[in-house]
Amino acid sequence: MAGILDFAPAIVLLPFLSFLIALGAGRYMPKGGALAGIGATAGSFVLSIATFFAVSGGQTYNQTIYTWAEGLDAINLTFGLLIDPLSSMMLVIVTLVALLVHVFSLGYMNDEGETGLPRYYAGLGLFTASMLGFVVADNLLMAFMFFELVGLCSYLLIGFHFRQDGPPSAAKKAFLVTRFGDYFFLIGVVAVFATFGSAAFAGPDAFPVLAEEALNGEHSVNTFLGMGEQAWFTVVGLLVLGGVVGKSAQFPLHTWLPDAMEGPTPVSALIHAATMVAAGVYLVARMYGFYVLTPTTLAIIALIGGFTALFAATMGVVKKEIKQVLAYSTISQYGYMMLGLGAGGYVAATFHLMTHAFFKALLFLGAGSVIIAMHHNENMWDMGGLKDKMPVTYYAFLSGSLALAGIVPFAGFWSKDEVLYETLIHGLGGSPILLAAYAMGLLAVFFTGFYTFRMVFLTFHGEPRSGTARDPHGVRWNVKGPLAVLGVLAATTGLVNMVPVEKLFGIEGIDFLHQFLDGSFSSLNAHHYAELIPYSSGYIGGEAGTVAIGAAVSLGFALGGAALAHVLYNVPEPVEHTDKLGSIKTVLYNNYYQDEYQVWIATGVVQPISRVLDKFDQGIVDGVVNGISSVSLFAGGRVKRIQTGVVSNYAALLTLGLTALLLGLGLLGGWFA
Amino acid sequence: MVPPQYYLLLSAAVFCIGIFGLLTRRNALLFLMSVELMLNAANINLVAFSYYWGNVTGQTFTLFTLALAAAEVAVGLGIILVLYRNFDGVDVTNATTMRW
Amino acid sequence: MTTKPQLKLGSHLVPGLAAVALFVVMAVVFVGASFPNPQGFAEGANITASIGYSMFNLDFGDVTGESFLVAFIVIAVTLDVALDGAIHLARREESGQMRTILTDGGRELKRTLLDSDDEEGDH
Repeated sequence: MAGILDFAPAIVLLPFLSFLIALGAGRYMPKGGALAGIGATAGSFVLSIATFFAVSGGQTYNQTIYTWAEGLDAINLTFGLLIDPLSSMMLVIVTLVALLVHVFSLGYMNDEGETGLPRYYAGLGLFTASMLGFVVADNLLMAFMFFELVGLCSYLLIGFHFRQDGPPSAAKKAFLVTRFGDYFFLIGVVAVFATFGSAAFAGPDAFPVLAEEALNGEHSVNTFLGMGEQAWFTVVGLLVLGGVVGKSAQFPLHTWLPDAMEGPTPVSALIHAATMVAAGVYLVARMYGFYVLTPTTLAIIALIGGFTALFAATMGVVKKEIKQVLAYSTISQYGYMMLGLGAGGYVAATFHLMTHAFFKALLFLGAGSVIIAMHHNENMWDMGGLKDKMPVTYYAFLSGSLALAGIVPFAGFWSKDEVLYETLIHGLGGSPILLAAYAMGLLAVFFTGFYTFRMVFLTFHGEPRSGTARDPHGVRWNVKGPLAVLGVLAATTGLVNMVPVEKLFGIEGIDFLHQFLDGSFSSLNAHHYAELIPYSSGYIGGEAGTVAIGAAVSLGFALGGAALAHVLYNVPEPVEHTDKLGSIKTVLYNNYYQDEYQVWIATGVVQPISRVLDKFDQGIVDGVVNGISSVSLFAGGRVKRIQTGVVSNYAALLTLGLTALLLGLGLLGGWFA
Repeated sequence: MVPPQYYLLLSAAVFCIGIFGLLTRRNALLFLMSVELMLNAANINLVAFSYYWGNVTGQTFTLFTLALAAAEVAVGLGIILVLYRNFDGVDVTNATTMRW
Repeated sequence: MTTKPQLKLGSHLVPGLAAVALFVVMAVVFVGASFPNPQGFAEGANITASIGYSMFNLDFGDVTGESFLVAFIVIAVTLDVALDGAIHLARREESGQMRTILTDGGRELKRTLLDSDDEEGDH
């Protein structure tokens, strides 16, 4: 297999190179290393596009690059590349968003006179490189390593303004909360190795395939704790899911994400759209062949997703800062992806992952543009009336908002509708859990429409509510350019998979994404997953009817939310209506006291346990060690007295020693017989 | 023919007398003499077993041992002189500075 | 006037018991050991001449022996070195200042550095 796919490693290595350049020579370069990063990500983007087309043409790539630990009669630990439709699509998304974020950073960081730019661009480069490495990983362990690198980079970038109070604490929180999830992931990786002896995603010894064969009784695998294969696979799947929940900010490990808004806005765009948070969902999609075998895990994923979608959306409606609203919308949207995956909608979830990457990057960059204009004031109540002052930002932001709210024909409508549709039909096929998750997802659509347009109206409509809003700071091409590109994409990417149109009007062949994801390794394509899904489908009034009803209902909810926002907030002088919520407002403001209860777990439960363990460590472990040392010291102090320095004593000891030796040897050797 | 046991007993006796001197005396010169005794105990054995095996190797070797003893005494006397200078005497129990 | 050496009994002889014990052990072992008959030398063999020959790797002796030429040279050198060493150790400098090896355990140095006479406590 020759051709463009042989250059795939360069996609990962180019941003890594820019990381090295920015780190080593960034301070001597104009723009603080930004140009190296832009060049590298542009190169990666071009290569990714080429890879994408090569994969569209039916090529795939699955190669082990480097074996870094060779096992004797055991497992080889390797680095390798797996390029299939899923990863090539993700490559394009990540490199495109990274490129635009680099360009945008010129406006957001360089033009604003930030210091420490080489560090910033080095972080961005490493972040991009680790995410790309994660995307192309061909086995679970490599994926885990890059997953951790992504977490490290998010820590570095969220804490970029480390001299202020908020960012270091937010960075630590993001790191620790995701680490908590990754802990389970690590155990899951070990469990996969122990169970299957391999952690490859594809190829002859791919673990999803082995699991499938094991369930069919074709060969045996190691299970532990006396469990059957089905139960054990569920446990393994849930362990890996721990990492996913942490990284993708799903309930209950979502608390780090709103705090992560302390990072620079372009970093937020990168984290939320293409890298860190996407990594979790991407991992589930990557090993979907494994999850699809365990209905329990799927149901849990769907339930977590649906619940998170609704839960985060309700918190989003009361926030004052524009980035906070976007943060909760991110959590909510990733909830939809999890819902889609859990409901058996592999293509739908991947589709939503793609469209969300574009419109959320757009929204964050748009928010960044607004923040530049507002002199880094993020409070929406100080904005208003920015529509006329910054039209490019406004229209791009509007495009992203329509996509986020799920208004036809913007990208979010198609993907979200497909997620909900898959959930609905599989729920109707006899799965009440999915129906419950569907209800939550549907309700979340309403809240999404509401908070999105509340944000738009407060920011851009009405009368300016502060001096800075009356006279905003202008933005340059390097901000407007990325916004324009993403604005167009947010409006149009939904058209690549118009399933409702296909189903309603019977036009065959316009579900391009579906076809694209079908052309791959036979064990990794959407068709194979569809066969394995443990759900059956049910319809209301036929397939077309269900599609129409589902789309109409979700669109209705979204429009309802938007309309409510319009009534309440699209007025010249909007007032805070949150007071009407009464005590619910307090609960929502405090994010359902999630932080408080997690802190309580830490201080009320874990800390006493830690104290006991500390006592054990200090008292018993250290006691033994110190005891041994003092016994040695004391004994040494006494025994050294033998060394009197008097030569006669030495001679006496030698003599006695020789006598004893002779006696011993004689007794043993029978010389005295 | 004298049985080898007698030679061995003789040499062991001479050796132990040497050691006895080492252990009970404090004068460095007497130490040197005791060491000479111990060396000669070894020589007795060498000569005895030379006869026992019908071979002159042992006796030749004894000559070398004697030469070596001479060298040892030469160096030993030099050391005793230094000892005398540094510790104002030849009592070996005074020279205890090279301990812990 | 010369003095006769006199036997002094006392506690300083106690370490000597170790030597006595060693002798007892060795004696018991030797007495209990059995040896085959010694071979002895041939009647009228010239032992002294044989030693001389074997010392120089010559093969004229009546009694066989191993070659010791190298050992002979080595011992000659060793004696020479030992003699030189002894002279070096014993030499006293003309100024009367001791410039030979100092084996006072650094007491002199300590005295000059710290300007104090205090000895180590456990002396």
